[in-house]
Amino acid sequence: MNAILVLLALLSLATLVARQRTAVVAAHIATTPAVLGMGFALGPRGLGFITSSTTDAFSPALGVGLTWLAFLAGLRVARPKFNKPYLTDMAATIGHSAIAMLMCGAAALGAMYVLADAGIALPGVSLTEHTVYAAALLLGGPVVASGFVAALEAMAISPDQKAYHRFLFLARHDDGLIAIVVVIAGLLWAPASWEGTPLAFQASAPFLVGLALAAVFILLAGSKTEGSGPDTITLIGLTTLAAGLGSIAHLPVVVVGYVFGAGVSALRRGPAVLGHGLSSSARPVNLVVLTLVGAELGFSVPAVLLGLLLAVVRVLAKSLLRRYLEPANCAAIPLGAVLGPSSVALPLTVSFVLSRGLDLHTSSLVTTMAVAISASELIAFVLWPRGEGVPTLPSEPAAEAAFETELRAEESP
Amino acid sequence: MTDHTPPTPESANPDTANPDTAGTTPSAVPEADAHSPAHNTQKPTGASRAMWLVRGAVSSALLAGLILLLRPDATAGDAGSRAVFSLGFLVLAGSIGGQLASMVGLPRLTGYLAMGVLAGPSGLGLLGTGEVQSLQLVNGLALALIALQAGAELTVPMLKKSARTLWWASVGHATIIPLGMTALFFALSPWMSFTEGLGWPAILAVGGVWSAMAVSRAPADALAIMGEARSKGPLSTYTLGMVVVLDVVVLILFAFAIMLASVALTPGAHFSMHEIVHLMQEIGASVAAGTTFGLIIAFWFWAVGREKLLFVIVVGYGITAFCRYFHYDTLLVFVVAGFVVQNLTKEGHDLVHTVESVASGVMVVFFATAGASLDLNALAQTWPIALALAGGRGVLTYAANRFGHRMADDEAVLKKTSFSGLISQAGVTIGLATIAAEKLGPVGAGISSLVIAVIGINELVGPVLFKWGLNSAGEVGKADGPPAH
Repeated sequence: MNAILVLLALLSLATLVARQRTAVVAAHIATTPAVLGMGFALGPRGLGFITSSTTDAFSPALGVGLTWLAFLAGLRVARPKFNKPYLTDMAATIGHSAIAMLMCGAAALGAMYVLADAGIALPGVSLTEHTVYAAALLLGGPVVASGFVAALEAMAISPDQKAYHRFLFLARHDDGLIAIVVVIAGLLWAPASWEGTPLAFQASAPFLVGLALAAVFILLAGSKTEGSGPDTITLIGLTTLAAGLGSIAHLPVVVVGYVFGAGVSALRRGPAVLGHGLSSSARPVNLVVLTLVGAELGFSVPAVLLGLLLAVVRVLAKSLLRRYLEPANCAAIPLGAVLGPSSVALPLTVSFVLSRGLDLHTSSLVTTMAVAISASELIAFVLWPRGEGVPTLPSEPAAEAAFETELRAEESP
Repeated sequence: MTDHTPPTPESANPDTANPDTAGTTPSAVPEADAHSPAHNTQKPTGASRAMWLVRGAVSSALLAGLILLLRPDATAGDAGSRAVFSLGFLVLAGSIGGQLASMVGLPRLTGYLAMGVLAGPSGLGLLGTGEVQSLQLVNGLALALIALQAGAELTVPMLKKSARTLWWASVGHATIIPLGMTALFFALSPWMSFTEGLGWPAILAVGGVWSAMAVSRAPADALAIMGEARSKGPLSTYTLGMVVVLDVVVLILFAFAIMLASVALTPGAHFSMHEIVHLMQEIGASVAAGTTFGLIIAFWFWAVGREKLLFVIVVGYGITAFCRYFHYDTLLVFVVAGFVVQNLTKEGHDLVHTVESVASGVMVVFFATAGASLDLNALAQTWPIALALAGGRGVLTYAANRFGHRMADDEAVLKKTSFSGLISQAGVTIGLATIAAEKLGPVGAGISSLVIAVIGINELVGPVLFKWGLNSAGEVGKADGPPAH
């Protein structure tokens, strides 16, 4: 009965806030920390309205939600082109991300050593094993990913369209793509919990599965000309299947879902897949996922400290990069938009932990990432205040429509 | 009170041209696009069919390889992972099956069922019994959506116009079928092992239970076929009205029959009107609850007007939990709710559109799960008797309809085809069989097994027959809006 009531509550929450972004903004509450906090308060380690057995019961649904979010993020990846503008933008994106990740990864590594020396080592991370390097990569990679939603919001107030386009390209790819590559690299250093399976297979399998699913979708749905729509039932079936297979095979389902989405985007002509309202499903799904993750969060002092440190380093890294690498964007795009957190960072970490067969509430990585993302969003919220004098933010449908126009322009010869 | 497991649903009329689309949230199940192969209104050419078959074969091979590689055996992974895998697999397989069925002129529902049978325990065993059971959460939602839509499709003018027909047909179904099926059951009882040692009064009483179950229909199948065929006309109206009316009739008949059988089989048991009174109270309470919930739904649509789809899903689960807790008739509550929204408020069209936007995806799972739940082993063991009973039920259904139409002086097309939409059986009957098994001991268990076998036949034949009926009546394609599939 508890599971049914929790399901009803989660669906009700999703219903109430699905399009209430402006209400959340008006209340000066950043979504991620608010929902994570609510989930934690209601969870087994809070008020106990959501029991441990309920969170276990919803674990499969959490996997499906994570896969779907990653799939939507993957759909934004631009189809590879071998022309100068694309290569230039991609090089700038990779450079931007690499520098930021190095800074955050180094900060994480240094902090873990400092904390260990102070006698408050991060639980589950041993300095004498490779786990510390894996942890540095797994934290440094996703935490610096850019927020695509924030990029869309910046569109409305950016007078410099060229800067906007470059920023949007970065956000589209930095919101997941680079982080996933880094996480897979981190996986190679992590202890193999899937005994008997070569690490190389563990690292490559998510990509191969994602690409295979993309191929299946293209075959079933057929090659469409621009303006046609997706076979949504097939998409949902494949995403759910990916979540199930990934979970059975101990693969990080977020990577599978992201590669699936990127593969569909790359193999299909035209931006039609995103052009049928799929993007609007991200918000309610994200809310349900965040609530469930919040309910399972554990608490440890070193994890919280590390998370706060990463948030600060993230802000510094992105501020410095924006100022010195892309001075044209300084005036055009507000810092708060640049600091917007990624939609894939926390799901990626959660997915990785689940694929290792670990519990979320004992995972320092998840707690650290949750704190880092929440703190980042709060900082961004403070630095980019909504209120008088600031132009009205676009509605989500308008922002999505503008993005779809952007995609069509990208696909046109 | 019977808590109906979902009959077989399917209906979906994704209206991509509807201006109300802007007010609904696509959520995770946006409307299917009219241009996709599964929803194209134009008939596919031979070349496009061949190309689709080739692509389908290649993609199926690719999927099969993935599954074999990552899921070496059916027990790999924990229960939750297997449940998620089962859900995704059924959605995909059902979708492909529906497309294949459509290509050969069969209802999509048949394709969904066939894929479920193939994947389920009676087929290739890709899905275990436990995994199929784990999808009941989705099936609960499917039942809610089907019943809401069924209720919303019924209008007062429609009911007034067909009241006489429905009345006499119901009389026919409530008399001819029970009498005929009881006689047939009695005649076949020497070949039924679970009736050994019973005296003729007991066999007749058990036959009464069987005959009451024979009156039950599958509202979901009817809606599914009508939605796919975009049908409109006297046959569609009659079928929709009858499946709803018979849902109530069968409850009363079954309650009486179970009581009589309990008295006949249990020494010392006595006849009591208490259960009948209790049943009538529950029916009344279900109607009242349905009315209340219908008004709540209409209020949300009117006052809030946003996130209608998510709200309907929340309401679907919430009301289902409510009905199970208070032992109300879930199907009746939702039908009444849909009826109230359609006839007492101005939100009926919105409700139908909202439900249809998600119905297609949910119903694929539902029908495929129903297929996976069919126990073909039971059918293989008892097929002669099952075939005789299924055939007898079909003939008696025809006779009951003819009686009703004759008394109501209906048009010829109804007399000829009206039985076709009333052959399918699924979740409602399974629910009744489960109750019989609980209340009648070993005899009930024997009936339950036989019912499963008969349902297998009716479920495979019924949709095809109904589609034939709609074609014969000339009602296919007469409804407004784009096709359901």
